[in-house]
Amino acid sequence: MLSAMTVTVRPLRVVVALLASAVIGATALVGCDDDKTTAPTPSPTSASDPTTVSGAPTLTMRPARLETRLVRLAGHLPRERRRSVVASIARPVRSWLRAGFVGGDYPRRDFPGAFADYTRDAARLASRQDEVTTNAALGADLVDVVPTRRTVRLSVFAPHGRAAGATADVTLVLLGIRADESEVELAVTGQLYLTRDGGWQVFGFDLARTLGAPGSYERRRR
Amino acid sequence: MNNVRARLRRWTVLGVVLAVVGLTVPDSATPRFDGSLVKVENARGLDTDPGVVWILALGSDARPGEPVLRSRADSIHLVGINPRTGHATIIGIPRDSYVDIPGYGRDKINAAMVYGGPQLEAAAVAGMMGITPDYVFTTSFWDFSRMVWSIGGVDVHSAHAFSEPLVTIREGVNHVNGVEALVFVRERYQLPNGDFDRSRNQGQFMVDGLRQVAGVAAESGGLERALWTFAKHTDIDVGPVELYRLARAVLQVDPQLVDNCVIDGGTTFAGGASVVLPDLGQARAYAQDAGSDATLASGCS
Repeated sequence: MLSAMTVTVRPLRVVVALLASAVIGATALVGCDDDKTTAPTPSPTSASDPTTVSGAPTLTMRPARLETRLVRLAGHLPRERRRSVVASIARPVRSWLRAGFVGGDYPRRDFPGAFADYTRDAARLASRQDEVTTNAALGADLVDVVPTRRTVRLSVFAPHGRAAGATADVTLVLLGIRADESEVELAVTGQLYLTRDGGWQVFGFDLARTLGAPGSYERRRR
Repeated sequence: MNNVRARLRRWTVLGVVLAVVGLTVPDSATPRFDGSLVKVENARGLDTDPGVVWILALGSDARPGEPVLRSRADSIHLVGINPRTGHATIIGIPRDSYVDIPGYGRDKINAAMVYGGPQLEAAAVAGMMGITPDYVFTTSFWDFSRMVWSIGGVDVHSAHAFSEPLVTIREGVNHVNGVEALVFVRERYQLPNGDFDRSRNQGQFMVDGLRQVAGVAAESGGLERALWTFAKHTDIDVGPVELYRLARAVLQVDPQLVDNCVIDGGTTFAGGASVVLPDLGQARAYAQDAGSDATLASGCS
């Protein structure tokens, strides 16, 4: 298993640490990642105004951009490196959202590559719960999807000037249309846990999925 | 004409009624039910070691100016956690347990840290319990206290009431700050079973402290903030990636699913000092029982 270690608390001033933590933690870096999806060409029309292409109803509303934001930096990370570090951490999250929900053609049952950036064990655990960790539960009934909200809020642990671990608070709201042109809204929220072991990988997750009528996620938030 | 008047009267009455109703009944927006009932599906998973992770938690007896890692271990707990199930077992080892210390013969187990630091303390515990810890965590009085302050105190459950100057502990739940926490985990003279009850209290404090830490970690960035504070004030022999993963593993433990036991023993004298002859059969039984899943099928015997 793991080698023995010694962890010894040094007599330092925690108050100073907390103050510094608050100052650094308040430093937020915002990044918007315009994640192109395979959703239909953006159009200003609403979700309730689907058009028909090749006989199948599709959604033509504009897909929400993927917004990635650093909300807490616990430790030290040179300012000039933060944007690239955030992008590196967000990459496996974005990959999961694309392969597991947003990308590809519907209808479908399989979501290959959804866990490509998960550790092997985490991928195995996630595959067993694919009704939440992907769109497997609905995929076969949908002919099209479009994300209406995609946010990733990162909290990064960087104790020695290098990011070592991170929590990604994820919100994905997806509008799906069925063959009979009825609509359903899928919301996936929760956290992914990531560490940098070579590249950044997801080693854990705690997610929740809800279904509802279009707009129900925003109504619940109000 | 009468018909017209009667019709006018009826319409007037109807109009008044409608007006009254219109004024007294709220509009349609007010009584709208804005609640919702939503089915939530959950998925959880964590890539951790498949077995039980064993952590040896030591409280050093070092006084100011004394080396924390080469002072006696005042509290000794072997903690097994099973991140997959959320179970954990805390086994308290009486500090005066008279056991074999590798390379030093028989002595009190808390002396092992003086002879050879946490590594030798871990070896002595392994010899006694049959379990080699994966990690050894050592803290001092003052840093334990500071850590409690940094997480906003702890709601600790006490089986006994006792008081010290300026600090009173009630039976039941007590919110303790860093100073009060130190009193709680150090008191033994006012407890019915002395050092055994103190060891049990220390285990209880770990359970309640975990509950508090979990609350902090549930906030956005809470774990990262707490870990950074921890890492900034600790000597850590593992990399930050492993530390981060270990923290996530520990947070999988459900405080409701923790067994907190203390190894029994009888008191005698050896070399002129009062020592405890630990029930080694019980110690091995605990270790064997909890070894595979961090649960004690029979609880604390």
